Amino acid sequence: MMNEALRKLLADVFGVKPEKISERDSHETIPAWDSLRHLQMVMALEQQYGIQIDTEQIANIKSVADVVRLVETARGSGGG
Amino acid sequence: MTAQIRDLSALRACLTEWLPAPVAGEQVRRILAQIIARDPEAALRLIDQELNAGHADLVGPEASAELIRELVPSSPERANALRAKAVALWPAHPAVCCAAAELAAAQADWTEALASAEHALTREPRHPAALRLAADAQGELGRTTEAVARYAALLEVDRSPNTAAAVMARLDRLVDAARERFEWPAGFGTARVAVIGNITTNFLVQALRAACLIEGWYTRVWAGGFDLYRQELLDPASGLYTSDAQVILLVLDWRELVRMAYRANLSSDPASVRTQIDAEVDQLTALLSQFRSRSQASVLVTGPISPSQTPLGVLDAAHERGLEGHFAYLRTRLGEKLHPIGGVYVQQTDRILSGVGKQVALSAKMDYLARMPYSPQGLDVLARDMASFVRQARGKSKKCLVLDLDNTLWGGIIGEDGLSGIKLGPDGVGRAYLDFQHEILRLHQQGVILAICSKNNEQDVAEVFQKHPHMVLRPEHFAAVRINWQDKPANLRALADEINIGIDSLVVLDDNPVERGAIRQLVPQVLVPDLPRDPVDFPEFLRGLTCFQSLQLTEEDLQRGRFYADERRRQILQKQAGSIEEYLAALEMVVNIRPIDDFTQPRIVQLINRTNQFNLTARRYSETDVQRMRWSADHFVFSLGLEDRYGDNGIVGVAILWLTAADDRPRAAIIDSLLMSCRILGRNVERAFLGYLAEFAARLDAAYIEGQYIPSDKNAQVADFYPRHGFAVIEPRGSMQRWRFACRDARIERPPYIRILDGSAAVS
Repeated sequence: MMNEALRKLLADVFGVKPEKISERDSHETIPAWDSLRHLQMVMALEQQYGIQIDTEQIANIKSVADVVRLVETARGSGGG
Repeated sequence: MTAQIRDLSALRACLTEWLPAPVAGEQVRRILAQIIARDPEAALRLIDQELNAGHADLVGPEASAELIRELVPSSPERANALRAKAVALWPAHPAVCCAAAELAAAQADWTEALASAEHALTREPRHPAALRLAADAQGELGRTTEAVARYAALLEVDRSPNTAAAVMARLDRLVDAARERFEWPAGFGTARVAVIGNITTNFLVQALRAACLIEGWYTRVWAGGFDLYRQELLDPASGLYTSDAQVILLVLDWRELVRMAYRANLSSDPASVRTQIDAEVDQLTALLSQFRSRSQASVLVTGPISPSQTPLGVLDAAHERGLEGHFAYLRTRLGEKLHPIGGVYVQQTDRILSGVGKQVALSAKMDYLARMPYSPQGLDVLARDMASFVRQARGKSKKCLVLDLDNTLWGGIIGEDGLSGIKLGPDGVGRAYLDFQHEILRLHQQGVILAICSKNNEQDVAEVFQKHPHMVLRPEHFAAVRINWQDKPANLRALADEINIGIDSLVVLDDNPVERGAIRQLVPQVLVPDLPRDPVDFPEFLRGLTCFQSLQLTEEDLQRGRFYADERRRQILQKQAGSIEEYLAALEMVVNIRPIDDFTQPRIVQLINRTNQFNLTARRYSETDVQRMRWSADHFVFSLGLEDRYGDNGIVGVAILWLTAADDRPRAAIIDSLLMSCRILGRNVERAFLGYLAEFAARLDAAYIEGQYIPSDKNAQVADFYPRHGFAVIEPRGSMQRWRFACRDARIERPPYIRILDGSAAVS
């Protein structure tokens, strides 16, 4: 499930209020989610969580749920 | 066994079987953080249980704050209940204060949110979350000025591009809503910037705007299209021109422009690589010359980044077909061709990135996916250098460095450690202080005025300057000194008065964070950078300080340090001489007034843009403007140089005169600008200058000479300059007051003790 820190990060990326972001959202429901914001989000995730997201994973992110999953696995394998 | 662990205490007890107690506690808090992120309901049960059992230490303020934040959107009542408990337990903890602020913000109680955030900031002045909450709240409360300063402070501590983008978007809304009906914080200005080039510029624009705000510049940025910079530079109807930008950043990926240099191999002909380099540099020169002929905007062009790996390895430098040779050639050509255009500068991008390292600064991922080769860290260093350029292009640099002594110029406290106890010398940490002093001396030699402001005993300090074998700085390097036990803000005001410069020209270096805080609070116009905590980092810190840098470094800059040493000797003479007239006569002043020429032009432009106090109209003119007036038949631009028995003061005054149309009867000469460096005020040189101008106007057959005064924040001291010299008042125009003097019929008495050399006789 998505925590508030991640919700705020995505809100900053897409320039919307945090409460507007839910796990059901995707690049189809968030109008600002274009290819540039997509990469901005990747940079922000990498910086905030100290993770590396490779190009294949970047291409596979389509929704907020994907982001949550990605962060969970990356952090899980990194030991918290 | 896991089935028996029902609470955190049990978990800790279980872990302490194998781990030392502090480590076990740490692990429990880590697990708790994971639970908070995944299952706030469960976390709340666990935390409540422990807090009720009096095990607050097991939970800690951070976890409580984190959980409050998680609960804010879904169940504010429970968040509030937890907040009450946390505040009771850890009333001043920044994380708890921030969580309380967030809760208040969610309920739109901005006064409460601001109070909580401020509370966190008293404990930790640079807490990012608290800064952001405080700024947001101030924005909501309509306190835009404070919000701007807070956002700037936030961006300084949180340099992620994501924060930059979000903060700048929010700030834009605030500024637009306030419609300029607010004051910018002290020391803030605005600038219009354009970013063009052949990379995707969006990411850079965000980092740049954040970096500019940190430097005190609120920018609006026009971003060009991807790889459209040639058309934009050439087409006067393009957005580049209509944006009316004052500063242009041309961000080039040189790999696209000089492919042959980057892909060169042993079989490529070095001559044809250089031909391609020449062709690209020539084209760029033509584009920028075109642009500069139509626009006065200053331009910064990013330089080439040479690859950190070369196919030939060690042999590369020794071989004529090596890569680095091509880059050295490219860099030389760029400098040779672009700098003469005027107003165009080449950024030493390769050197700037080397500060953090290319492996960190460049991102292959962003390069291939976004056509933008930089990592967030790379964008940050690049943006900071560009922000410094924006500041310099807009003509503001600091003038005076005010230094603390103990633990700043030397290690230790002279009053306690004594002359032999302080750390300063060729060994260990003493060497860092030695190098630091050498860096300060370098600034002095580049024209930065030095001053001392220290809580100390004057005698102790005098002993260090006289007797310490390793002091690099000498008393004569300092223009003013305040060594006493009074508060520093008051001392700084006195220093600025004594040196006769604006207090916003001061930069203070002080190792004591409390003093720094007090100065920032009470004299916010003064720049107070945070010195690094460890003195070994002092020298590099000072090398990285850009606030004194200026795009123009004139002869006068290089000698300004000496001017101030001379000034002190003049003051000694003044004490000896009886009356002021006697003193002025003893100075043996010679004034040299001459029309502008190639040698004086840079200094004239500099004075026009820098002089604030003795400046009748405070009109600012760019190099191009001045050039135009220089060649105009009815404009006359004069420089005034001053020598006296103590030395040459260089050029210290500028006047711009223009004649009304020939058929205008009576014909008048208008003093468009008249300004003098504050360094030489109080010597009646201005009277000599004005007398000269009136006679010059009479020679041109003007019946009247007209003086104008436009009030600014700083030029009140010259409000009555013209009436004092016998000018008669005429009708004002808007805020501009006007006087005139019948220069054909009368003369302005020149001071007898100033000899005037008339440089124009020979020329005109």
